[in-house]
Amino acid sequence: MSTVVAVTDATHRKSRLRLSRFEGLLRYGRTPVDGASLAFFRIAFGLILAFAPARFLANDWVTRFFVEPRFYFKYWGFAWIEVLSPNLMHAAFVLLVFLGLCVTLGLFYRLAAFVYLLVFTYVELIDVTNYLNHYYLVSLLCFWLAILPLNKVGSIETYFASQTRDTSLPRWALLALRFQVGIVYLNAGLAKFGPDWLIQGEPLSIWLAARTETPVIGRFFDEPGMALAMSWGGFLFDTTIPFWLSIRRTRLWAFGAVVVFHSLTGALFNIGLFPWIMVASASVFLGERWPRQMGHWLQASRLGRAWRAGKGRDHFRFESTAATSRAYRARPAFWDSLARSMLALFALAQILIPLRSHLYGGNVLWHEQGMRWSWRVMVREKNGSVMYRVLYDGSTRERLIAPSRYLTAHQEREMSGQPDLILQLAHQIRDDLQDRGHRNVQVRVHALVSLNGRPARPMVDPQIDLSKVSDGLMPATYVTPFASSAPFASSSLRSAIVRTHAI
Amino acid sequence: MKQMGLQTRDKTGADEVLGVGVPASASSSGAALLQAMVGAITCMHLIACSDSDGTSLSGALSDTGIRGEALLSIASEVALPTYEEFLEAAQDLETSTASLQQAVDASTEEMAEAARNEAQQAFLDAIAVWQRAELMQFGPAGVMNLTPGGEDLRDEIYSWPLVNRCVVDQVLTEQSYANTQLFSVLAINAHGLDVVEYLLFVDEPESSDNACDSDDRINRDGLWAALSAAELRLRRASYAAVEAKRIREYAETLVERWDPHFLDQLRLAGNQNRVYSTAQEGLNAISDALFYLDKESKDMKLADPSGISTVCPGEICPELRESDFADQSLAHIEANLQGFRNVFTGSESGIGFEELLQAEGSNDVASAMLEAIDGAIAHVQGLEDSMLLELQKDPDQVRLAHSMVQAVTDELKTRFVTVLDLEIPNRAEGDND
Repeated sequence: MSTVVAVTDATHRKSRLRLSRFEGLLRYGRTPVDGASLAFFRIAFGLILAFAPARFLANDWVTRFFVEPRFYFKYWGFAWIEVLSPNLMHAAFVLLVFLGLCVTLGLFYRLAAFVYLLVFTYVELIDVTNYLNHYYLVSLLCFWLAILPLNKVGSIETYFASQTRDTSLPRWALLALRFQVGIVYLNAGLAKFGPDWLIQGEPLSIWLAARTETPVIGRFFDEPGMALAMSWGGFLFDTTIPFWLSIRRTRLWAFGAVVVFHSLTGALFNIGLFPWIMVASASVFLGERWPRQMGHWLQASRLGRAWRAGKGRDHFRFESTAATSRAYRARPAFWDSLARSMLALFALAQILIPLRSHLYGGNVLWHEQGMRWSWRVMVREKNGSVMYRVLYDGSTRERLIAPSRYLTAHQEREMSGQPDLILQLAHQIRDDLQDRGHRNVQVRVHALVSLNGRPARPMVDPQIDLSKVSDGLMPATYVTPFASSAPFASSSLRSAIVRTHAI
Repeated sequence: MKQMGLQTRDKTGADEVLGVGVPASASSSGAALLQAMVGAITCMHLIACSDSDGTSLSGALSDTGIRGEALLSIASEVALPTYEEFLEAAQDLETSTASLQQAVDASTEEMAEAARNEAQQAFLDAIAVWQRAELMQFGPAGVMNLTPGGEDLRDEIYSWPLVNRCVVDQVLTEQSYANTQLFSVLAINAHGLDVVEYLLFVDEPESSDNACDSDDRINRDGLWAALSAAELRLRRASYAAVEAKRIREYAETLVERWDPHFLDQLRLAGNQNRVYSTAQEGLNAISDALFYLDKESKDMKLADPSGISTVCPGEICPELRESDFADQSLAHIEANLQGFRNVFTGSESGIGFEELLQAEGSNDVASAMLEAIDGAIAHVQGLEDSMLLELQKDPDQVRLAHSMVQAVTDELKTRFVTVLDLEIPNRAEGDND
């Protein structure tokens, strides 16, 4: 009897300990922290949110990507998404600019962030060939903006508020954003863990060879082993930077490395606003009060003194942080618990979604299953030549349909390396032929693809009738197995190999 | 702990400067790091954009390595000479069509026939050169707002596949070609070498029909029917002369826009170059022009008439040939392939993509492409008859030509663009996923 009681007591103690640890974690999450750094993130990211669609309008990319195409590739499960009329598409981008500015200013902040999330995600769901990892990141960060009160500092709403301002945020808001950014870096790093990147230095070797004319540093790109060294540098940077950013002693230096790294990639590659998004996002790792510290630093600087002398006022004075000491009030238990569970699920999804490609086996860069939404950034140079072969009405003579009959050059280039998109266009071709009265339509494809400079080989089984194949989450049997030959080694790497052998 | 002077102490007692509790000795290093970060951004801006005082960091494109050399070489030793050659041919065409107009006007049957033959030969000479130039639609010949430096000059010289014979018949009937102002604002399908081909090669005097519907005004109002055979012949000769003059003027403009304007731009780099900020961008534009062989030559000129594509409902569709009147479609394919080859190999003294591939260690890609190009050229040269006769005799020979051109474009679209890291010009952005 006493043994049973002892065991029960021990179990209770353990569960109480676990509970207290969990509650401790929750309490830690509720600890108030200064909202200054997240306000900086909101302002910086908001400016990017406004600038990105403005750039689309200025370059007339809205017309190119959402008006000119005659066919749009749908996301699995989102086939119901339709493109709007040209005027409405342009209006959507104007709205995005306005909403981005609202986020920046903290005006109707949460509503603006939420609507931005909806409109931007809608725009991204129109055509798969427009998918970019950093667009996905923008949607995720907009989600966090919509639920986090990042307008407590430096916003128009608080500026005009009559009551004493509470400038604190719960710590979990900061941790959530750090988690999100950390996930991106970590997965981008893990995606580089493979022989192409770490042994062959591909595709960086191909890309650097095309950039030897880059001023100042370009001359080094042809140096033996440079691509491989930079590949390793990129791998180590991506996999470790979240940790360096999380450690107080290394944080500032790590952020400096983030700025240098993304400035370099932004200068070398056509990756749009990706570097600026990552720099703005990485700022959430800095101390929560760093904008105030920066303000004081500027205030004390010669420039600040001169400014104050000229104006006779202290324009750099920052608000007291007294309010930050206030305990962050929890909401009613039910809603708090529901919100906590939802966020935990969301966070779990962020961990699991990038890992799903491992369920398919093979080389994800080849079959592409699990490629999207998994932060596999800058890991492949893939180009293909696709031609559809059709049979109908019982004829034995194949006819050819070039993708360019349906697609813009941009769409064709993107589709040529992605099997599910090749399948989707095959279905469209089947439907079109059937609509024209043809029966017994069969659609096969000649899809030669070169990955990281390897000799081109069929990516889709040319014998399979794609008109009868359905898209889905199961492994794609119409994709040929990856032939694991060595990728192309550009001149610099080849000379390095030759020299090594000579030694 | 001695702290730097800029820090503040918050209620939790943590001393932070930019989130890092640092001793005073580290204050200068923190500031130094900030300066270094600003410096890094500035440096990257310089790397990306060259400097702002006008002195390029990298000098002329010719100094920017083998890619800059290739760009200049292909532009100045392949494309420009082709345009200059076309200008000479266009001048001959202008002269010969003017002679034809005078001969027809003088109503001397024999002289008119001789002049017509001469004009037809001048046309064949001109179109043969232009079909090579079709593969060089970068710079001023390219499409405005799509090709860097594009000025839409190509469409003014040869508008195919934007062809509408009915429009030409309307112009003939209404003599719009005689009204300089009206003629200059007509759509591009009323202009170009394709129009001259129709006017010079349409069967006369048998061809008294027109391509417009019965309810078109020229038929509905009896305007076309009112034209005598002699009048129709005279108007065709007059229209051809006016159009040939216009083509020569655009050819002159094209050469002038190339030399000195476009070539001068190519010799600059960085911010000074208003067309291509890097040699790689220029090579992107040239490689984009090479895709003419894929989309136009292979998928339209060969696949459609030979019944390979679904555009042709029957066994063969000779009416979908590019050169419907002069029946030069196979010669055009050969010229397209030759133009491709010229850009790919570069001039004898200069360098082209072949050397670029070799420099990147891809001799196999270079030789595979050259072998495929030469194989396709040899096959097309080996076809003794015109495309019309070949299609009637043995359409599989034309289909084989399609396969052989596809062997070239397969390499072009896969390893060629991969090894040289060529992108679609003016693409928006990417993170390579």
